[in-house]
Amino acid sequence: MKRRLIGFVFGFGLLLLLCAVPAWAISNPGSVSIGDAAVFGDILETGDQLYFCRYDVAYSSEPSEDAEDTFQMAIYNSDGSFTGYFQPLHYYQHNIITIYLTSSQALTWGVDYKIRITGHPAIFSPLIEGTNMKTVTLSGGDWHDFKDMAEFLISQAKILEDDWGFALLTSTDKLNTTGSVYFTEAIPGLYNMLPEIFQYTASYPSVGNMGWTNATAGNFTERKGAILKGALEKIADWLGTTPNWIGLWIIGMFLSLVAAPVFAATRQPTVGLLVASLAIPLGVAVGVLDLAIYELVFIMIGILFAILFIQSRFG
Amino acid sequence: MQNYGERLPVDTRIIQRIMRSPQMMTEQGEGFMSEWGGPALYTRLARRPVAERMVYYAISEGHTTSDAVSVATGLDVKTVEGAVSSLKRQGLVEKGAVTTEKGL
Repeated sequence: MKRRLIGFVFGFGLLLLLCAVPAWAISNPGSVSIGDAAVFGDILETGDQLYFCRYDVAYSSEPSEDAEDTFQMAIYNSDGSFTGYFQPLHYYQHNIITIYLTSSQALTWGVDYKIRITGHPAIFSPLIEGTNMKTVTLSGGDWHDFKDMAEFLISQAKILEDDWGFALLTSTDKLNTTGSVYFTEAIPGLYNMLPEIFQYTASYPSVGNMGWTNATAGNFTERKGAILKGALEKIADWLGTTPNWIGLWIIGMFLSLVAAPVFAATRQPTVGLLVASLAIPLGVAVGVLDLAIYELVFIMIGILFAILFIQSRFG
Repeated sequence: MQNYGERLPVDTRIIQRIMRSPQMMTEQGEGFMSEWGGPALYTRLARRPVAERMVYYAISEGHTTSDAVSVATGLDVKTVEGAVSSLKRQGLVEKGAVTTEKGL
């Protein structure tokens, strides 16, 4: 009986451990308020939207729990149903937060959606307007074109700067390093949206791809004329290959015919190769060889000469 | 000072992040949060009960009696005296910085 009792207590304890969930002891804030809510459209692509909110989740004694776990910004339809879009807050107290929607996610422009700063439903129960959540309904004046966004954000930075008691802007009303950190944290992609509002920005020069037409190579190819072209095509057809290969073989044979007597007369392979290599531009000039082959052979001859030169000097 | 620190304008995580960045600290300069006695003090007091914080800032503003602190902050004298005792235990206020009827 005693063993059964011990087993029961042990099993019950184990069950409690398995079912353990983190306990949240956070209290309601002193107040929750929304300073400004706004929506901007056509930012990074046509039809995208940025929902902006400046809030104050005012705790008189700052909680040890992270704001990401306890509070969020959410967008609700005008009938009070949830749109499905929300973003955890990064910080308590006075700050800003946004929700970015791509054009495929975007909501209907100009509708009276509700922007809500609210405690997490699993932590704050019940959720009471004015106690642990605050809701504002978007009106016509809250919907802005992208061109107004820079001025709006700078004005928001000034409000935060005055309240926080430290600098977020430069003397020329650009976001300094501190301002940049917190604004890009609240608005991911802000560097791409509005690079002009930052004191420091990095940009990359755009380099367009070259449009190669191969016009010069085409002009050389056309030089061989109809008779030579027909001959090359017939030989290629007979041997089951392409006219380009036939042209290469002909020039190769010609190169050997020139190189052999030159080498025999001079006993210098370098001189033989040098003289014979003149056959390659000749082949290109009459349109038998492709210009690319000439360039390739030219590079190979250059490397060969370099090797021979090094060998003769240092070998 | 806004209501002797009754309201915290900024999350201490922001302050701590600035303090960890030499570039941001340089940018802010010597006057960084001078209204709050500096970033480190703001961070320390932000986690304390609001009464303690208000009493601390009232004392640092020059109020030397519990009655004067009570009038300045709007807190009752008993709360002020309790906050002073707590601040003394933590070494945030020196003994004798605030005089009370009981001679604390």
